[in-house]
Amino acid sequence: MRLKDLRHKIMSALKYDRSLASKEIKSDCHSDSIPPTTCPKNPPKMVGGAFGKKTSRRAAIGLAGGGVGAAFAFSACSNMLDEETKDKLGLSWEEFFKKNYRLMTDQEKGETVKRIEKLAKVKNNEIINVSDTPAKDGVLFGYAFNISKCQGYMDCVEACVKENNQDRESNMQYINIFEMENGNLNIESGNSKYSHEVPVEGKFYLGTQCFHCEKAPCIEVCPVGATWKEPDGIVVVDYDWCIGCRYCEAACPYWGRRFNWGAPQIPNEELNTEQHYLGNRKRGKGVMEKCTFCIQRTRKGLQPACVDACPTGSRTFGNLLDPNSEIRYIIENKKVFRLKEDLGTEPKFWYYMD
Amino acid sequence: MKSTIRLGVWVTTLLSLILVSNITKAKILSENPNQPPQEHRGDIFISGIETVQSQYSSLEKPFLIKKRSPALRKSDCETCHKDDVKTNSNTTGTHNDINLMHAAKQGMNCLTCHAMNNVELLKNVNSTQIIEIDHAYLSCQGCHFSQARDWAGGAHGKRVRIWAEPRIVYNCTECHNPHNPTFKKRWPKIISTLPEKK
Repeated sequence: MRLKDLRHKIMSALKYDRSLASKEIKSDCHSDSIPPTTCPKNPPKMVGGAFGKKTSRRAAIGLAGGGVGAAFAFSACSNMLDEETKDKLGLSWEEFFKKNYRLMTDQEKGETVKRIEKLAKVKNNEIINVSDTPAKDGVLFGYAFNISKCQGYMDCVEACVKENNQDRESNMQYINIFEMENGNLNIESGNSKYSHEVPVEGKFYLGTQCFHCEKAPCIEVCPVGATWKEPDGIVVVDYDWCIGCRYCEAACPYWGRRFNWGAPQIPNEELNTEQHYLGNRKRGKGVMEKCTFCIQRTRKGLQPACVDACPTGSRTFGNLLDPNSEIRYIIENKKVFRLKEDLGTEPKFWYYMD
Repeated sequence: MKSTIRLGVWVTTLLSLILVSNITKAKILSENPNQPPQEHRGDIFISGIETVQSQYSSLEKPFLIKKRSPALRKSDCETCHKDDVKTNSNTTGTHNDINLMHAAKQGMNCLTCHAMNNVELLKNVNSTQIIEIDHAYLSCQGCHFSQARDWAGGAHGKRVRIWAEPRIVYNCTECHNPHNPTFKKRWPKIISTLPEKK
């Protein structure tokens, strides 16, 4: 009889949690411009019962877990552990039980960022600077690519890998450069695996990456709310919330997302230490990642690494809401098109030609 | 009755655990008090780029151009040649390292762009107007007017490091060698490692 009661309680708790996850976190607040943290439809998850009415489930578990860890650390057993290990354990506990980035207060964001810096120091002896710079008001990022100018040199790809701390083991790359026959705009016929001197007569080059769609299908399919569109239009992933189901990879019509089959390997001397929580900080095994328009650079006013590296000026990045920006000039004055426009994903990535 | 006692025990245990964990949290975050608090909210990145105001006409919004002259080796003849300059009789002129591949067959020569009396200056290709090196685009636009219009608007060329205001762009000659302006064939920097599409 009691066993049944217990089982019933657990099941109902699980159901409640699932319905919350699908209703509140996922769908309501990502598509409009209200910052997710202030969205009224998106309150932190609450559960009642034994933990009291005002504690979220995760926080409660975190506290309980942290408590157990701390109790262990302070107990007689703690003599076996040195200070550093205790620190590492404590930090890892808190890190594991933190909230989704969108539900964090500014203070919690600051704390988690500091914690990540400390963990990198004690775990891997890396001195990094992680930022949580928020989106600026009146900024919506857009990108333009000149298919008449690109010569297929792939300087952008190299710069991207270095900037975004991508896995050197699996040679992960975000940018695809397709070599295409002149007069043919069918991306399926492009060859992205060319290895010869470029440019080749009679061909042109077209680069793809994450297009940061306004109506991004990858966000729609995420079952845990680990990916969303920021107020400045950048589609980001909370690497600590992603469960690695790869639905988003399947949903993206532009091959924009990448999966970490193993823990990313980056030599310490090649690590880019200027990082952002939603950007190029080290990812774990089994999570998705993608181009973030170099959020760690662009939120500070710098151009993405690919734009900076391009020797031909094929790449333009800017603020779509600024009528004086280059991106607006291109959209207003050049013949522009977007890839697979019929899908209605509204990519913020335009192609144009001279 | 039993369940009430059990609940009581649970609540007490939990409260004590929460207390202990909060103490450890405070300890961890306040560790290393000597370290200065790090600034995470970055400002707009403004760097020391030497610029000049654009002189491109027929455009309402002004912008900045990265100075080109500091990157150039000055061809100041008098620093070596104190006496009368005598060119080698076997050569037809100085600057023999320059192989003009810029519409040379169509009739362009040094003096199409360079000022006759001062090699430090350029000239308008369509008139005798003298142009400074930092404003080389004024010379280029004499022929490449549509490119110059796109460059001033933002569809040609590229910006220097920042996307935010102020707008600073590269001069034409930063990317194009004026004596040989086309981009050359070369190997890609890196080979694509992405899996083949099915």
